[in-house]
Parts: sequence; C-alpha cells; structure tokens
Amino acid sequence: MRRHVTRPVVLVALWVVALASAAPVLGSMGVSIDVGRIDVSEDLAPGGEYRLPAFGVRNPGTEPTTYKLVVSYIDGQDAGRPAEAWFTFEPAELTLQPGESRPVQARLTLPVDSEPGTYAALIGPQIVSEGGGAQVGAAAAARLTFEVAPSSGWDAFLRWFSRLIAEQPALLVLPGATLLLLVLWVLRRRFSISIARRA
Amino acid sequence: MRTRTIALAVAAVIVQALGSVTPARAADPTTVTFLHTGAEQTWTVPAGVTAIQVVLTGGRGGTTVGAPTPGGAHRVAGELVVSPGQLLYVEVGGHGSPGSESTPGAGGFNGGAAGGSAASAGAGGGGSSDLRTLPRLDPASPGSRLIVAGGSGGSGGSGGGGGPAGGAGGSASAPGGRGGQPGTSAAGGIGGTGTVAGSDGAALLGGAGGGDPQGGGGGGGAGGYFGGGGGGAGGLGTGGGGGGGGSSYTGDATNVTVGFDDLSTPMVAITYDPGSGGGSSTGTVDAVVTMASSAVCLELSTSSIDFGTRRFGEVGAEGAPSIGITNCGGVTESILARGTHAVGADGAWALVASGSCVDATLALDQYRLRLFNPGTDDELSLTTTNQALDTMAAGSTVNNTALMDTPCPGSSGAGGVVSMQILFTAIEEVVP
Repeated sequence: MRRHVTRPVVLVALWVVALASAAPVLGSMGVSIDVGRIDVSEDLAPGGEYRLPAFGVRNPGTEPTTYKLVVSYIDGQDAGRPAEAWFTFEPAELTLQPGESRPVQARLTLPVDSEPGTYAALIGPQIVSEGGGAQVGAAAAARLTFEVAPSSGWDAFLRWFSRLIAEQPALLVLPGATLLLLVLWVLRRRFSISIARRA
Repeated sequence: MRTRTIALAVAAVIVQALGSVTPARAADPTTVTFLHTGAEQTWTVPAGVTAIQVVLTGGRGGTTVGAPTPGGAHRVAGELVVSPGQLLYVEVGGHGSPGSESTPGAGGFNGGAAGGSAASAGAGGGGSSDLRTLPRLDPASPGSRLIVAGGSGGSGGSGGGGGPAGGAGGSASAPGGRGGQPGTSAAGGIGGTGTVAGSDGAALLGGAGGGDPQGGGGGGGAGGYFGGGGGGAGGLGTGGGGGGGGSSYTGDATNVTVGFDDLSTPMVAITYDPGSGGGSSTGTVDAVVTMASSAVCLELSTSSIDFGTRRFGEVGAEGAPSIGITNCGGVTESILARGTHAVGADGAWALVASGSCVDATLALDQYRLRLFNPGTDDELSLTTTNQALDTMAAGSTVNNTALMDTPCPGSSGAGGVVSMQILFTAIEEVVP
C-alpha cells in the first residue's frame, strides 16, 4: 500500500547538486554545424550501408566543450523515424577549443528488414552535460531525409551478403570451395575419369 | 541433369553476390552555394572527393548621391585540388553600404573599408570572397587563402565612382579628391590624395576613405587579395574620390577565369562529383544528396538551472536563471525544445505534456516542464520529443524561464535529489 504524504515534503534539493557539480557556464556555451539540410536524392535499399556527406562541427563558445553526435526527431513528423542504431558517427564524441571546427563522418546502415517509405531525422552535435540537477543542453542539427525503396528479402540478403564479403573476403573461401567441389562432382558424373597409378 | 542445374544455380548466386559488392553508380555533380551572411562559413570536403570547381563573386562598393555607380566586383572561377574530409572556410564578401549625407557607408564583410566622414560622406567598399584553410580567428588565416574574388570600391561623396575590382577609383572634378589605387597581386592600393588622403590598402583589407567635414568624403577601398586604397576627401564644395578595387588571386587553381559579375550577388559556389573518389572497398556506398550549406549555430547563457527545494503538487515552480538562447548563425533558425524524464536515487518521474494535481489528471510520479517567454507570453509544455519553440533571426536572442509542475503528493522521490535535462536544438528554419 502506498504511503500518502499528508504534510509538505521537501523532495527536491537541486541546489545541493549544483554545489556539488561544476559551476554553471554563465558565459557562452554553444554548438554549430555547417550543414542545414541533407536530402538523399536516391532511394536507398534495405541491407545497404551508405556514407553521408561529412559535416563540420564548430565550437562558437568561449569554453572548451565536448560534443556527442546524436539522432533525434521532431514531434508529430509525418516521415518515419529511423532508429538511432542505424547511424554511426566518426568520431562519435569530440572536444573542441573555442572557435575550433572538425569534420564528422556519418554512416547510415539499413537493416535488411527495414520498411520502405520516407524517413526523417535530425543529426548533429549535442553538448555533453556534466553533473546532476537540472541541466540545460544545446544541440545543432541537420535535417536528414531519405527514402527506403521496396526490396525483396532475397535482394536484401544479397546486399547484406555483399557487404559482408566486402568487409571479410576470407568468408568467400567456403562457398568457393563448395562450388569447386560441385563442379568436380558434376564432371566426374558426366565424364568417367579414371586415374590409374603408373605401374 | 538436375545436378548440373543445382551447380549452375549456386555459381550464379555467388557471381551475383560478388557483382554487387561495389555497386556501380553514376552520380550528378553536386553544387553547394554559400551566400553572404556576414560571418564565416565552413564546408567539409565529402569522402572520396579530391577536386572541386569553385565560382566566387566579391561584394560591390556602396553608392552615394551625385557620384557614378561603382564598378563591378570580380567573378573568379577555377578548379582546386582538395582532400576528403578537409575543412574549408568560406568567406562571402558583403556589399559596401551607401554613404548618406554626413554618415559614411560601412565596408562590406571581408575586407571592405568604410567611406570617409564628410558633409557628403563616402560609401563603403565591397568585401572580397574567398576560400581558405584556416579560420578568421587565426592570425595566419589571410595567408591560407586558396582563391579570392576582389570587391569593388565605394563611391566618393558627390565625387568619383568606386573602382571596379582590380581598377582605380574615379576622381572627383578638380580640385576634389582623387581616386584610390587598386590592390595588386603584391601590395595594397595607395590611397587617393585630397584635403585628407585615403588610407592605403593592405593584405585582404581596403583602405578607409579620407574625411573632410566641409567637402566630399572618399569612398572606402574594397577588400581583395590586396585591398584597394581609399579615396581622397574633397574640400569645401568639392567631391571625394572613389575607393580603389581589390585584387583577385587564383593561386594553384587551374582552368581559371576572371571576369566581372553583372548581377553582383556575392557568393561562393562549390561543385564536386560525389563519385570522383571511386567506389568503396568496404561495401559502403556514398549516398547522393543535396545539401543546404547554411551553418546552424546556437548559444545558451547557462548550462544548468536551479529549481530549489520544492514540495509535491507545486505548479509553476520557477527555475533560475532564465535561459538566454542566441542564434549565432547567419540564417534564420527554428529552435526546438524537449525535456527528459527525471531520475533520482529515490524515485523517477515521467515527463508529461498535460495534467494537474488539482483535478487528478496528473498521475503519481509524473511531472511537467514548461518554457515561458516573458517577452511574448508564449508557453510550451515540454515532452521527450522535439517541439517547435521559436523562430529566431540571425543574431537574435530570446529569454525563456523554465517552470516545473512537481508530481502530486504520494509520488516517489521525497527528500531526494532528481536530475533532468532541458535540451534546445537549432535547425535550419522550417518553412511550412
């Protein structure tokens, strides 16, 4: 049974946290991205991995600041929401001095079972907040839109298999050997080959 | 027969799979255009791109009453070798401001100089446009310019017209002020003579126009690889000389053309072939995209706020300080806001958009966060997903106060400390 509070209760003491953590930045804390919008102009295929254009992240503030690359969405957007796991960023986190800029490479990997349709997300740097209490964060984002094309499961499997082979060519040894054995087997059944040991 | 069919099918599968390892693709060239924003912009060379075609146009000098229209700015085109992932800094020159009676015109962004103060003031010189590898804050930045389009000089007050890029400013009728000399590939233009001579130009910078309170002010020199000299001031009853034009620079660029831009819209356009770097060896494909290059920038006045010690069931508990939000970019931005659920050692509260303890529509362990703009009386109830908060012009600042409706009595977390976050995200303006 839940215990009801019948008298005023002190429950939040955020100032204690504020004292325990770093002092709030009262100067300028900022974030900037050099791309406003990225519209992928071709349909993307399930199972494919796509490299998006690199974009620049800049620290417009007066303090060294650490940023992480994040994916978010707009409330009520018509387009689908691509999962955060579909995106990778290199680097995923970076620390910039005031005025410093650095490029970030984004990649989009579509699962083989991704639904066809239009997707939209906000991608960009967000200031990494430290400490507890009531934090105020800032992010700057590019609006990314892309279309996932309808694809059969077989096509998606082939695309996934292609990527796997490209990344790990050694995996070709097994199917290659299987093919060779099959060919030899067929030849052996069709043509009688007898190799006798020389007397 | 059946065995042979199976073998052929297996072979076909493997061949098809291998054939699609590096999909062949032919992509159209992509052009990214930067317009004048009054601030430095950046562009990152996409993966696989090693060459770009660029077109740059400088800013035009300002006009004055009673003087000829300034000449045109340079339009410079060329090809540059770049490295994938390289960060380039884009400076788009601004037009010089016109001289208005005794108020001189300001120089355009990126090197344009101000006109001379006078009874009939001079106009500002146009700024140059360039691509460089170091940011403006770096003292070595002007030396890192790869290609430059010079601007044109500002016109003198009631005197000579501003010089075109690479050309001298016009002189007022004798004995008025003389026009400033143009910047060259090696030195800034010499300021025009007059009752007060215009300043000499320098690397990147135009020279200011001379000022004479009784006559016409000299026009400001234009920005360029080397800036134009300022026009000389005229004495009583005479006009000022026009500012000199800035020089252009093509450095290691190839297939270069230098001309004048009739439309005189300062800009930098970069064209590249998304597929110029060839295919990937890891199965990753470069997505073909169109991009808006406008930089999005957001600054906040604080990184945390204090709600103090609160009771259950409070409505509108105010956090301090208020949160100043500044659009530090060069374009209008949409500001989005969202919050997080609150967590603490002794409990957790879910962030909800509506509800009240008064009518029991706020369940236990639920709380609300709102942002209130005292300037407009607008209020936004936050959820965990981005919602539109405001539309902000470049350089503008708004203040918002965070308000909290604490959970209803009986919720968890009594006596403890909870943490939450309010997150602001800036994006390019969303046009309905």
